Amino acid sequence: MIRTRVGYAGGKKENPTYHQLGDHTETLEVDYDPAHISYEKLLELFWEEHNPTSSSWSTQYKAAVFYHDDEQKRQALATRDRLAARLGKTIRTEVVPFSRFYPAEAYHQKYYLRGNKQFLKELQRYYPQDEGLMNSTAAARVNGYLGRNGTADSLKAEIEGYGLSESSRQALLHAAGVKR
Amino acid sequence: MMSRLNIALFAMLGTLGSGQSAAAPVTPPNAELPAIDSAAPAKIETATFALG
Repeated sequence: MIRTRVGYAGGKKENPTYHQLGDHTETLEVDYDPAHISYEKLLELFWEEHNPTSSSWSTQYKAAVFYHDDEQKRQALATRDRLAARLGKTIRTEVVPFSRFYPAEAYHQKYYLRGNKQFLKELQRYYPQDEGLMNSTAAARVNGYLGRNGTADSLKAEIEGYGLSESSRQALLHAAGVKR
Repeated sequence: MMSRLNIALFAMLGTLGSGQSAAAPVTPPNAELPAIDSAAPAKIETATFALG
């Protein structure tokens, strides 16, 4: 994963904000290197992480795959149909074409990281502007490990590249549950 | 506030593919950017989801 952002997509209103969302939906956008992660793997996680058989009760919170090209569309529909067959139920999650993504306000980005001032302050030395922090792989990684995702081995393998001080590296290993 | 599901997947995705390089780049002291942010991937693709 190269970077992750939260924002708004799927609607026609220009420049939506959290309080003036219009017809948009709260959305995740991820940039990834296909040599390391496949779109099919991302779809697999997506289908696992929500209940695709329940109807959306608002546009703001609906579930959807926004495909960027024909191949993404093909894979999204194929995985959706396989899941429907396995569950024996209708899938309510939409598969729709991507049009435009609007990043959400800075305070929505990197939720766990923003809740930890020590790490946030260190990464803001590199990225004093919110956009830089939003697009940083290091920030996405730290945010993810603070949310207790990933594995101890993967964190230990690359933590030196996150640009953190020694005390913050130790604190992140501890927060992520890695035993020294 | 972003939905709980979006926050959870967002964090999980942030760690995907980490630790895969045989020799992870190391950020030198006083570097302008973290080493992992200076590495240029060969190809970048984008995926967009909403979790409800």
